[in-house]
Amino acid sequence: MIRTGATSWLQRWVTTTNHKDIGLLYLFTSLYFGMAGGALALLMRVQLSVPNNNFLSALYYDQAVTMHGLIMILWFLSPLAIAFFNYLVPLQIGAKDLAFPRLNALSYWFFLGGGILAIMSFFVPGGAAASGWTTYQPLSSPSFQPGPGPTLVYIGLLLLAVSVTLGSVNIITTILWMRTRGMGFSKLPMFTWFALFTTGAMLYAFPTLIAAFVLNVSDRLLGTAFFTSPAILSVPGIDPSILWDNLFWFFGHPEVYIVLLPAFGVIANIIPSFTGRPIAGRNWIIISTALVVLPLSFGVWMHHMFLTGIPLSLQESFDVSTEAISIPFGIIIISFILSLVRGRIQFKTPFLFVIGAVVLFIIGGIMGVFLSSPVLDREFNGSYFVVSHFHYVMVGATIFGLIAAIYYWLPRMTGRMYNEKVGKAHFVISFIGFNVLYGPMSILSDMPRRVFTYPNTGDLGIVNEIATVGSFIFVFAQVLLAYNVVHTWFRGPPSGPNPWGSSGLEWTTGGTVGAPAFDSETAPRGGWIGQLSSSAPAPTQASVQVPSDGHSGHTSVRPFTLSLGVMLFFIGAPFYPSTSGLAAMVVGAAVVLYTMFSWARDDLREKFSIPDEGEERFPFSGLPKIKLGMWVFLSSEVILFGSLIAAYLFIRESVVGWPVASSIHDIPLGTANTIILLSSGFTMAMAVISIRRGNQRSLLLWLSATFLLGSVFMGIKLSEWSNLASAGFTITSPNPMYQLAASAYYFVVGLHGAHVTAGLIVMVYLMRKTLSGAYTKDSHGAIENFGLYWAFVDIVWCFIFPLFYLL
Amino acid sequence: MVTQMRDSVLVVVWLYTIIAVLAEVYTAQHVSDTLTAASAIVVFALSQAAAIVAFYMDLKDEPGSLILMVLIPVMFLAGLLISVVASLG
Repeated sequence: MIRTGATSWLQRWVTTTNHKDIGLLYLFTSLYFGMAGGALALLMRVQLSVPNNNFLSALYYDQAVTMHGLIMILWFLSPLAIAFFNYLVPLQIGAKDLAFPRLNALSYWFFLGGGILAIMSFFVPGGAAASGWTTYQPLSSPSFQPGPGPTLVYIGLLLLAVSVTLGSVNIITTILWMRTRGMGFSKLPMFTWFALFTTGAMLYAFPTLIAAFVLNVSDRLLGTAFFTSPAILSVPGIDPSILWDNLFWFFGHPEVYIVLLPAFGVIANIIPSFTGRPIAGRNWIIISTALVVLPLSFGVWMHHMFLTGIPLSLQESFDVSTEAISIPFGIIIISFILSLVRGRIQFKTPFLFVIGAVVLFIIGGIMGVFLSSPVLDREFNGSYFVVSHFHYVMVGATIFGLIAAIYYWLPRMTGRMYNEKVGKAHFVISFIGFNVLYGPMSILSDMPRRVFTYPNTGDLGIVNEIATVGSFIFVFAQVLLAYNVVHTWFRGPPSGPNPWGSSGLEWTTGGTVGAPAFDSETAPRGGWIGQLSSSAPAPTQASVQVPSDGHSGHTSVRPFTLSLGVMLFFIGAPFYPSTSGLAAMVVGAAVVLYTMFSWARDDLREKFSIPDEGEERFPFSGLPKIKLGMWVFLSSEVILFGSLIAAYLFIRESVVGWPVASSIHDIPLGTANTIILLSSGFTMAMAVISIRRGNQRSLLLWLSATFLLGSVFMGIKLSEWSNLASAGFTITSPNPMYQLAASAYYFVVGLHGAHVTAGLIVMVYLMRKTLSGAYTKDSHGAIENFGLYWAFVDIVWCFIFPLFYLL
Repeated sequence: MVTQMRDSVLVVVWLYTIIAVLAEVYTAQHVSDTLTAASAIVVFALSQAAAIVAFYMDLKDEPGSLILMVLIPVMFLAGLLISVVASLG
């Protein structure tokens, strides 16, 4: 079949698993979402430009605010960073691609699918979500946010969270396992270090978001009542919104650092190119981020909840932790400033944006210190002071830093140089526009941030008018960026292979857009390896030799079709039981099933395989790549199930008169079923032992036993649920306490059951491969990894059983 | 880094997990003090999890860095659990 140019072009981008292609897809998609979010921001600023304005209705304003926040933070800022992680990390560490190329493509398509669902919500009856980007409960419950639009947004968020979690597993495994010879941690480029920090935070933060939105969507689609149950609402002093706050901010505060850290990585990485000196205090930056910023980022979330009525002792402890986290940031900023001292500074566009990012972060960071105090927080919370603070940090520091990355690495992506004059004009206008926009907001501490209009009192009108003028200046500046990027891409003058004279390894590898990471037979030596440790022997060309064509054939349409099926299913779900909704769900499910079958068939035929590579694997030298990836993934699953159990404990402890477990459940049956599942863990462990010894027959036997026990477990579980439903223990029970208990039970146990079911499906595939003799003593990674998964499923049940059946 | 494990070790672990389940059930039904019962059950559940992680998942034979990587989310989770319950007042 002869393909036309357009077909070939489309096929290339739909089936690509090349990290550079996917990096570009992330880049342009996130910029598109940035434009969409920016357009919503302009609508808001026009509405607020004068008092008592009616340019937007209250509902449309609320939708604009909500979707602006969600799109900018989750579909623009983080994915823009992920674009650079994709494109640059393998180049910087000398890897041929990310560890799991198809998983990488799947992450992108889930990200896009989630974004499409979110944007679609504007066009369905009732419009998009309007409960603020924090989607506080019960404001985002069906009682206050009815209609399919908010449901689409929340499902879109779920897809995005899954995408980010999978992407994190991929990038972490890549950095830990796939570094080229000589690329030890002491020589890892700073951008890659911060990619590792960022994805580490993503790995543990996003599962909580998944847990929160799974509960939210369950309330909306299945009729559970986690956040609106009368059983909780009737208890004086207890508010289910606190449950949401905890789950959301356990994700939400690390998300601030997730957004910020890539920009810091950019800054630390590119300052040397414009000062001619290495970054000062490199080790201090790394240590303070790894040992203080990351752990504390998960220990400050309750400063978002000072006004919710949490105990004073908690407020005090989170006040201290919040103030403490400013210390490592002080170290990082001082290191950046010291790096400029005695440097031969070249004021090129990327460097100007770096300086802009540092200055704006200092301003925003200082404002944030005020908010760590419970006393001052009472004054500022919910005011435009807070809006100013987080925009200085998240827009100022992050966007300026990431724009610096665009200018800096654009020649690497295109082989062409941008227009320096336009770039400098872009910086100057951006910096002025930004400060005119957000500076005045810092004095609006008496203006609530979540109102669609305001009275004509005091200086509210003039300050808002100035801010609106600033917003148009800032947006105009970004038009210059778009012009510069497009112009560079098509008409820019050749940049040469290394226009900044950088020592980074990414500049010494050939190829531009879409080409394999390493085009040439060998990657030239040098880079950070040579620069940062003069005492270390520079690697020879042979030591970083990478085959040139090991990557190019690895295309797959499966990630795209799987994501398409999932998206279709979830587009239909909010409209169920309408015919169109049901049809979309059926078609989506069919596409998912077909893709999973095809994916497995591809693997059976070994149509997609890349050889393991990477020589620097310390401190995971003895661990196979996929096994490391599985451990990384399971560590995020710990947070997912743990968050749901935390939610259960909150609900359980909130109410008075929780049903006694023995009055609901058949304890002997539950105990027997637990023993069956634990026994399946044993048989799976024996299966792993068998193949380690090279005994394929024994492997098949133990796998079959595991499958049988797992199936019996699920069979008994379904029978239990049927009996419970017959006895009236359902999520629609008229008894609010039973409704709540049933919601929690079916939800958590059901999610575990879904994991068991997924395991059973995979086991069929493993048994099929075992029959074909695919696993040997020396090659049985899939069995080892599945053993880990199945043992994890056992462990989760070790906690679910006593919590739901005994206590 | 995984070493060859004897079958008997896995059998012992399997038996322990089952005994722990039975002990949990016994505790829930026969220990009247709720706090004591809950504490004992949590200890049993944690010990089951530890046994499975160590022996079925072979974590005891893996590099220390991997053990650390597994412990990090557990520590975060402990913080979340404690804080969520504490936020009830």
